[in-house]
Amino acid sequence: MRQHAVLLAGLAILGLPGPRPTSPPPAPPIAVVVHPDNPTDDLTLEELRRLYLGRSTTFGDGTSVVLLELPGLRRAFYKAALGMAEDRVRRHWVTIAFQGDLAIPPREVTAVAAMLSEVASTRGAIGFLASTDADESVKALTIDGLHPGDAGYPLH
Amino acid sequence: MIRPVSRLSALLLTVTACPLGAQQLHLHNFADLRFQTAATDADHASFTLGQYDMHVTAQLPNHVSFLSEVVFESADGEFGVDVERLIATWTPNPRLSLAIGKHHTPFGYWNNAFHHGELIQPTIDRPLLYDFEDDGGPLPIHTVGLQASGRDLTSLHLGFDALLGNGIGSDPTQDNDDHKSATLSLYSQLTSRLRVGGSAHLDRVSAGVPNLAGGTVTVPIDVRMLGGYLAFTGSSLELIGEFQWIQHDDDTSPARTTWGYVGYAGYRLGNVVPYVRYDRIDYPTSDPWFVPLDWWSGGVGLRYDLGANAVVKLEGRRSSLQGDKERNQFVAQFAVGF
Repeated sequence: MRQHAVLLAGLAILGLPGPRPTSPPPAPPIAVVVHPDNPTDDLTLEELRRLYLGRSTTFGDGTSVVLLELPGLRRAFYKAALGMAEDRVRRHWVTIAFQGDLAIPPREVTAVAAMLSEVASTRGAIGFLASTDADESVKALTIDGLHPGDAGYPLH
Repeated sequence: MIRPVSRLSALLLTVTACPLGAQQLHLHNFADLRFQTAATDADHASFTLGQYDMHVTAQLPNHVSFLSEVVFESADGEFGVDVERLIATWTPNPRLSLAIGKHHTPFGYWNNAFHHGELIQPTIDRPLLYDFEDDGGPLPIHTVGLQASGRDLTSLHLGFDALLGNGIGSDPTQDNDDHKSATLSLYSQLTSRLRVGGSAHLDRVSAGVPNLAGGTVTVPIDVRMLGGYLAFTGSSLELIGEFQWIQHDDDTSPARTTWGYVGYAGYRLGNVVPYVRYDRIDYPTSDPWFVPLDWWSGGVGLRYDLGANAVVKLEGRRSSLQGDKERNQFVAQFAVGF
């Protein structure tokens, strides 16, 4: 460590550039997860928007949707999936409630473990988390036919 | 109809203070305050209190939910309270519901997308066509009755609202005649951002009911309305366009036809949305119900979102109401909801 500091100081005195700072690794894509028994395997981005905007309240088999959100990731998710800032999504749901509509807004789940647990135990649950956090207790959906990590996958 | 605060305070306390086992109880409050230059020769530039709106929803057992909207507002220099909506809903299926109570009549888009909370609507005021009855609006914005609704049906994502209600001339507690109003709204939420729809409304106004011109209906009037709309809310672009065709037929002369139009366009740039709006009502030369003098109003505005719970709107407008001369007005509004 001391040798590294001395080397950097020497380079600075000589006016030479030091080694480039390492940039943080890119965040993993966001995976959309459902209960393992949910027959849905794929959603189009438009279908995902319908669900998270309350335009649709059931999956294809008629199961009522329970929307979940992860605070640390929702800003990126809403931007990527809905094209909307978090505040705007929140106001949208106030509008839905004000209209007396039947849709229920996303419920906040505080941590990844809780998200996995909620989705694994609730038949109609749908949530999102970093794709590296998804495990076999939940089913990760493809979006527009693409898996997280595929080129063109829309949720980053 | 604004009622004195004291007469309904007990009901308000009941609504807001007793969850009584509600599984989920949500209380939202909305308010708006504004500054506006004079709208008529008799007015002065003023700071103004808008509405204070208490909105309660509750999810109850057995697929039952409840919604109430109680508004405090100033009228004739005195604050009053009005129950704007009071609805009990049974939802046996996520896509179908049956609701009884005082509703917003399901014609058009604006009248059901935006209610009393000014935070939510994109402009400062409602369009003239959908102005509230208390504010001189021409249409029966609220109806007490039974409404069946469907959502997200078929691959076309169709929805409907069918309302059988007391109609014009009634008050919130009783109908004044045996005729019921019927309203049917059909729409398709074609995409998550685009909705198109239409509505039809029928009613019969009995003789003896006070009309909007300050007189009294002498011969029963058949009311027929047809409307259509398109509403788009994109990541940046916002568009609303709608019309209503309104016919009054009292058998004493040819039926009189009124046209109403609403137009709004906004473009979001981050938290700022510049917008333009234009709305108008073209009345016939005579009418047994309306004051037959044309209304129009157009303006440009700027909406600035202060997070999810507050908004500032600035609007310059030019209007001519009920045949009055054209006037310019500037209005600034601060609206909150929490």
